[in-house]
Amino acid sequence: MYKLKTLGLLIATLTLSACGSSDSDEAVIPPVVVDPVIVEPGPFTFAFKITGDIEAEYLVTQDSITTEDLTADGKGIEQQKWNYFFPVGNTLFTVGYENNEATSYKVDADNKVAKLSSFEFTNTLETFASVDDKVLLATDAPRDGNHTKRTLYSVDAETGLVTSKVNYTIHDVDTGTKGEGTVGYPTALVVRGDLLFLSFHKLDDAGNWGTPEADNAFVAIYDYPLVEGATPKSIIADARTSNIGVNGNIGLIKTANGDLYSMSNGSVAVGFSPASTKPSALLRINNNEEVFDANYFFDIEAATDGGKIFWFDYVGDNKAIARIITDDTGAASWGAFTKNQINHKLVIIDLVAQTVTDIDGIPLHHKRWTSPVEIIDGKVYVSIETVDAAFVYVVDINSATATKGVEIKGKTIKGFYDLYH
Amino acid sequence: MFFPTPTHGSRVLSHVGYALLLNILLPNSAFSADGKNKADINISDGNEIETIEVVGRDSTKALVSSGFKVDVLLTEQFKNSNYNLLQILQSSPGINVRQSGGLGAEFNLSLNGLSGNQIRYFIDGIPMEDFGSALTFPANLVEQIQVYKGVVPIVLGSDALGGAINVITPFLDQDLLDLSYTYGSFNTHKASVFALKILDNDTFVRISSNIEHSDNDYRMNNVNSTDELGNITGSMSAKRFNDQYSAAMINVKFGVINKDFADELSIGITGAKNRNNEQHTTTSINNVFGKLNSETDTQLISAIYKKNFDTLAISAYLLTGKNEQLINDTYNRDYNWLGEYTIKADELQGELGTKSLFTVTDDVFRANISAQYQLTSDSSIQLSHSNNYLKKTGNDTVNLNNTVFSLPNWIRKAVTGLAFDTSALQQELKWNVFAKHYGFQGEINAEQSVDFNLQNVKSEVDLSEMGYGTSLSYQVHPNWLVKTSYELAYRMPEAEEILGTGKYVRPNPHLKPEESQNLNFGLLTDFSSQNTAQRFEANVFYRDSSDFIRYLPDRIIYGIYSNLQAVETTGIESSYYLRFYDNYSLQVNATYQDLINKSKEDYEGVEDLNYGKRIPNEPYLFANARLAASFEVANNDQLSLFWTTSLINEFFLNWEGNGDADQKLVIPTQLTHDLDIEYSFADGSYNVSLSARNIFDAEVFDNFKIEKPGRAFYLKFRYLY
Repeated sequence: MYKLKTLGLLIATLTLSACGSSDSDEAVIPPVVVDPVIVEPGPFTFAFKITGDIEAEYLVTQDSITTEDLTADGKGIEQQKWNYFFPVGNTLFTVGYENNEATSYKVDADNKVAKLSSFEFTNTLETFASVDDKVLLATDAPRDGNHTKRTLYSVDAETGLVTSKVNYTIHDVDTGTKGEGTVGYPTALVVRGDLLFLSFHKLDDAGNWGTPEADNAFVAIYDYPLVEGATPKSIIADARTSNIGVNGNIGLIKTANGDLYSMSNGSVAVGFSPASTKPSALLRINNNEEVFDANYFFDIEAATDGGKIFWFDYVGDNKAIARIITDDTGAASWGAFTKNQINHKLVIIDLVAQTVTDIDGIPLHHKRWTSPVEIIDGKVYVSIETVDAAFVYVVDINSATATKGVEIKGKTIKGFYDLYH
Repeated sequence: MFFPTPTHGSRVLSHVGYALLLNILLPNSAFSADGKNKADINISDGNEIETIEVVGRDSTKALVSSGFKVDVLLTEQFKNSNYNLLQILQSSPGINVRQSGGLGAEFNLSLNGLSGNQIRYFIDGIPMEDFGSALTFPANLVEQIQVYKGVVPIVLGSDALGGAINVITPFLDQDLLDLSYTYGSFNTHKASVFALKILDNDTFVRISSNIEHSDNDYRMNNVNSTDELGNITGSMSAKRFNDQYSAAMINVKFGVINKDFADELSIGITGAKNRNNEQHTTTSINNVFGKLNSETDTQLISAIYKKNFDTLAISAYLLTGKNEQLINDTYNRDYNWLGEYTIKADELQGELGTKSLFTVTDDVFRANISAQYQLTSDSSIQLSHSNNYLKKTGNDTVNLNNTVFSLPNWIRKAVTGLAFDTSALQQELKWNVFAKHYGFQGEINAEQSVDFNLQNVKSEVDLSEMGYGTSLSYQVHPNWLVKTSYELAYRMPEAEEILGTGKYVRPNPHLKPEESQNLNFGLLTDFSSQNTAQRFEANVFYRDSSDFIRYLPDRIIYGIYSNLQAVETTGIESSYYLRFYDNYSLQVNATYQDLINKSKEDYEGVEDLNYGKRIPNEPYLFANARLAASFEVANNDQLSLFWTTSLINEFFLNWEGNGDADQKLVIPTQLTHDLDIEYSFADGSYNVSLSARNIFDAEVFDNFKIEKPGRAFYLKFRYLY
């Protein structure tokens, strides 16, 4: 999502005073000429998680996130337990992990971030997408390995209401013997025109979260919108890298020209069991094509001296911001999600030029889950957690540099959003 | 992102199941809680007993005047009306019971700030953990409830971190027949039978039985109305439609009393069954169920022996049995609050998750032997050893991927206690000191991925801890008693906490027991004049608790139980009783407790910014009052009126200081009023009562958004011989 904050408020003020003056009998005062001043964009809305064993999350809105304290003390809309935060246009969805309810927030007539609407769902929703900043797509996942059907929700961002709910399948091999077959666990949804691309992991069907076919990347392609009972029109595979995506983190992004890029990790540290023998890498599906581009292969391990990509998001100009696990040697199963793994670095990837640039100024850190980023005036705001502290950093995408902001008086900020512009 | 909670999948309801209170009634045990047998206790001197009986709180002077902080709740005054043990406990200071529905719903009892499995339950001294706690018994089947707060004598051989509740059944000293039947709102029926027959002065047979049913179809005033896609279109009121609860229990006990070789030697056999339809999960009313249910089936057999030799008293019990719990989620339906449903397109899906028909069977074996040796007329030593073995077997015939407890596992807890009891100054000063040794062993086999191959991995644990405590009381003045008590108490881990459950909940061999230092200081006073009797009691309590065992979803799909939280509780509870002539009485009590977070760091080692703040989602101020009036009408018939008012102050779901004050999630203040009208005739043989609960139909909540029943009426008949 792109926003360019202008000096709209200032201009509006001047215009208003000009209008007011024109009706008066007094002499017209010439407009005051002011030098353009650089003001920080805002207000910002952010998803704040407190520290402590009793979890709580707050949706806080304030004018500045680089000068004001970042805290939920006495402010913020209280959420229940753990939530996914997902922006679609100027609507923010918070999707409860445990209470089967999603709530949408939007700026209301009083110019405040306020609840728009809510919906309930049966199975916990695990993977999300924004379609053209207008629709939230959300799907559940086969947690226990059974060959259940998936449900895809389409939610109108303008109203926050579910407009359709369809059952569909991704991939199932059922031999009748538990553990021999596989199920598809979705890791990303991307809509391009009348197609839905869904990347997935193949997990064993006994519910042990084994990855028996770790050495292939898979994307299921559907006619979009999906009809009830939809099945993939095709499933494409590529043996150059591992299953696409990392649990909870989006594995597939779309650039402005319609190219899709996928990321694969393949490490035991992100839950592969066994690990893939293939390198962590990016693949591409070109615009108007429904196959992996055989000529495109971006070996992240080669480009980052053995690093593996953990998360990425598109930030324009064929660039992605990404988090790289610098070293997964000897990692425990799912170890990348544990706090003491301070070995994540933030980078800018040029998807076309196939370069990785470390973002200057951000220390090694750890991150469990990241909401999609918003580019606000060419900047991306991130919460960076190290062993003893959490700080906001302002990342300039073009220069791949970051400025350290104020300390976060909490565990993390899951995402920063501009819901006003 | 997948965070398993220990209750994911089929396990999701099992904690409900544990709370489905099993109706198990066990025989009188050997010792009453202070290690003296009943006969001894009744032999007490004069006017103080008088006072105590007036107060209606205890018949056991020895207990109350000991240094232990124990409340003895006599059930007698509740037997004519529709009260179960939980409701009686709720009316006592320091105790708050939170429920998530009507009859049979899950409850969480908090005692001086500690709650759940930190409180241990006993029936006649036999531990009832893993069976629920039998607290839905009508008052008619029990004689009294002893509530030990924070400091628990060694004869209650268990690992009670925050206290123990010991339910005492009627004494085996005279023939008794007590029949009752209750009918009331929400199609509630309850019947109880208590019959005790003594033959030839030395043989007895006792039958104790209880059957109850309720549709629990009370109105919820504020549930989401949703369209077919799940959009919340507003709120509405709706009747609960899948919350029926039925339970039946019978206990038969027979044996001999007053023999040369035994004061009591008896066998008890218990069978209990219940079925509970589940309207929603215990934490949210968003998932509405129309078919989901659970059933439990329990069979127990026990034996009791006790004998009082000259200076040596011995008692022992054995208990063995089986408790089977079935959770049935086999309908692929999606219900709304109107009771309408759509069929889920996926035949494999149940209402809660993947279709499941899951049985957990607990095999238990418990044994205790206790001895008390009188050293002098003023002092004695006691020794007690308890053993508690549990084996769990899980079996899901529908969801084959659910392998919880499918491989062999067991735990064994052993508690050995040694105590010394003495008194001085003509029994004005009483002192007890004790030590408890806790032993814990366990083993579980689970399929785990080792080097990416599934293997059967055996985990074993072996723990031991030493706790101790003391109690002191001093009768400063004939009307003033001060007492203090202290215990370093432990709660050993439950089976699934330390051993895991198989697939997703990993074993944690490094898990430590929960630990708490419990301190009480109390003051009791009573004074009577010709027409009034008054009693006042205040107790200050302090609990320094740490290493709370909490579930931690630490590796996305896997989780583990860890020692996480530390909590410091300081509180005061007080009660006041006034009797005016023989006709009127008033009892008021109030509790204020401050539960403070003492965790400096959270589970990830990050500074806990709510250190020093009040623990959220815990009531901290509650009070109740009961006004009674009783009149003699014609023919010695008795008319009694009781008015009960309870208050629980509002509390926040999350930390007090976080978030916009106007938008915080809150559990609102509860203020309810109950009225009981009782009429007794034929010298008390026949009793009829009308009870009105929540008379002003207030919307009340113990848990966030989970409304409890509104106004309800009950009619009860009781025959007593």
